[in-house]
Amino acid sequence: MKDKQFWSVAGIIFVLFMIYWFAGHPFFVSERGVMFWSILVVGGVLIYSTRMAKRGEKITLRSIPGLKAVEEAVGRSTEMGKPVLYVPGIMDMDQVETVAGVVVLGHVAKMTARYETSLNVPVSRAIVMKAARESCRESYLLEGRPDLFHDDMVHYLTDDQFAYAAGVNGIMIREEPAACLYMGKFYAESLLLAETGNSIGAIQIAGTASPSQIPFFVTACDYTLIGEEFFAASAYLSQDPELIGGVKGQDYLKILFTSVLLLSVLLFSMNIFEQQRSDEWKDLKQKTNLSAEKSIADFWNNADPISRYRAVNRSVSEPSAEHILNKYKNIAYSDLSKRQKNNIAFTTGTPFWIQLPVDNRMEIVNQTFTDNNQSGYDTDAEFRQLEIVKEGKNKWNQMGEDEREEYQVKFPEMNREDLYAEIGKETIEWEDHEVAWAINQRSIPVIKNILMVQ
Amino acid sequence: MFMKRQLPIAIAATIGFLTLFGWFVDEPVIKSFVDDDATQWFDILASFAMFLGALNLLKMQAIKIIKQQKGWQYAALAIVGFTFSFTAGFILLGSYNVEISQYDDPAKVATVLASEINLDEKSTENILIAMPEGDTYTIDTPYFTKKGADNVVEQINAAGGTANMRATEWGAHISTRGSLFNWMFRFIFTPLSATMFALLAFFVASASYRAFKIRNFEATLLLISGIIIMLGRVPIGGNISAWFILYIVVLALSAGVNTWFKNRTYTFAAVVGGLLAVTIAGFIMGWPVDQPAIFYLPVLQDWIYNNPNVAGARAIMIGIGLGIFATSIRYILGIEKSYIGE
Repeated sequence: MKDKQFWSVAGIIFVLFMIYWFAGHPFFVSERGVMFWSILVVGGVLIYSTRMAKRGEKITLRSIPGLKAVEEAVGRSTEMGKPVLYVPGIMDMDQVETVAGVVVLGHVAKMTARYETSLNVPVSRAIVMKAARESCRESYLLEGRPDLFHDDMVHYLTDDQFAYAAGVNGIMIREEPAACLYMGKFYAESLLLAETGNSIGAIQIAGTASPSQIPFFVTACDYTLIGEEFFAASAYLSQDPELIGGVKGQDYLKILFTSVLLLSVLLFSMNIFEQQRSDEWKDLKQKTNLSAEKSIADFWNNADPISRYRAVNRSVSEPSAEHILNKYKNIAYSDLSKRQKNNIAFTTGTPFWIQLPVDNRMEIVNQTFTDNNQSGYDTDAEFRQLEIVKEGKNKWNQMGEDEREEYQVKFPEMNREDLYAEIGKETIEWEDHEVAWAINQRSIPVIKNILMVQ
Repeated sequence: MFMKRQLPIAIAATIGFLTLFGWFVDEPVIKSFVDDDATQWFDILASFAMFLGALNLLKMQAIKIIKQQKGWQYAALAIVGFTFSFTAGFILLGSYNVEISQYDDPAKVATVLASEINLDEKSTENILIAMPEGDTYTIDTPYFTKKGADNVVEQINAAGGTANMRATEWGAHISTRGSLFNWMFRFIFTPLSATMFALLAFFVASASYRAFKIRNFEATLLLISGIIIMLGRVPIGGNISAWFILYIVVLALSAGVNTWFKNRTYTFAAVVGGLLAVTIAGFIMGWPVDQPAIFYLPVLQDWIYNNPNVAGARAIMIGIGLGIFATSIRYILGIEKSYIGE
């Protein structure tokens, strides 16, 4: 699609969507709005970068040593007359890392075809076997060496994690490949594979987005593609402007997210949000802090020196009882530093406002507003009853005829309103409704929604 | 060309968009597609693909044996294992139960039962007598062959009881204790898997050794942080006083002074001065084992674990998240076509 056509179509879709949105966006799950708009922004930036790259914008991709080394590794295998071993992880094609692994395999297969080096790809899922085989076949065809391709270069071992690791290790020990490439999703078998590869002296390159396996690969492999580098591998190896454009888009997004992070920290530090500046919020904060101060003071005045020491220091071990006795017997509460008070607050379970997680703060705020009864409802019970009926009505509308009949038989003499209430009681999940309750009272949980990005 | 190029991209794009945006739509049909149908389709496809995998495995191993390639003995073992698992899973049930529902003379039936369940006759008799009316007693261990179970049934019937043989249902036999498949799983497969997993302990040791070898600044940093975390997380770490760590810091700094100035007097001054300074400061301020806290291992490891470590991990996670999203979008929009060989 040409640029003009593309932007016209995108514009029309956007306008139609805005009409839908302002018309009340029926069927849209409102709680997921933040996520939805984030996806649109992220998707928009990526598409924009891709199209810019397609138009010929010059993009410089930083050198990634791990990817540069792939060709070196294949070359080394060629010189040594040994095969290249490629492991595309242990998960199925529903994992994006496996897909990325298969894509990189295509590029590696092109190199092995070019250098006439044998390639061995043991896989642990049958679907991955088919996909990887197709990818290799196409690569050998594109390089003009279909004669070198044979189906069995990609072969299935087993679905089981450790049996697969044992199988691949066996191949390594018997065939002694000169290069081992691990690109995909890995779990505990990562180190088993990488260490065996290391023991046979193969050049090893790994790429994964499993954070817990990255340290193992970094330790045992010569090069490791960490997270995003792994996903950029396809762009890097193909040098396709469209793909490289996507990588640039990712960088724009990183700048955007970092700015949002910094801005959030700044705004929260400055207490700039409405609810933080409100009198209710300040009152609650003060009340919580006063209550914490009181219980800490009570604790301090009644505790023996050893308990005092433990509460203040929260350490694993402690000095002699005599030392503690001498030091902590005569310290007055007013002499305690802020850090010491914070430690005691943790120990006694009466934290200061600053120590409370966002969720707990929201809970306190909601509870207070509920107690103060500032809503449009007379009582909390009334609100809950209405929410139950609302939920029941929604369920009723979604039910098929059979299910409705079942309820009508179960509650024969009930009017529709009571029937909704009965259904609502059975199906309601309070979490969402409590948020609704709080939203009804004040806008604070909306902030929570943004923070939690549900 | 259409079937090989455009069609797969169109399918990927349609299903991709539907799954992505279906998550935001409150409509039962789309919801059930996104939550259940799409994943079930994948499971169904994967189940059929298993045949391909199994056939490929057999073919590869058979070729190895026929061509007598290096390690063909393992290939033979793989085929034997495969055949055994297949037989235990699909052909040989190996799990037949004997149920006793009635008896005239408990002592007689107990005599037969006692030899089967490793209990004395009196206890077996008591079990039978205590059995509520209308209930059945099932012998704990299932019989491997139908013939074996029938044999016991006959003996019990001859002793005046009423016993039946009940075969475990196909499918349920996999998890039924005593079946051949279950036996294989518990006594062959599980220990072998555990053995592979246990190898990790040794590999972690050798990998750590390599990682901790001092080669450059990063490796040194890794070594120091590794030691602090390891010691700080075990009880002995809590008994190492902050003083001791401070002394080590002084010695390390003195080593730096020595490298920098290459002068014995300066190095001596740094060592003695530093040690004296720490000792005097400690006595004056009455430092206990955990003061100054910044040099106390449990506190230090906690800080390393919760601050620099979390910061680094989150940075990686943000990159990974963006990478995954960008890759998915590329597939959905048909920008990335490598998976169909372009």
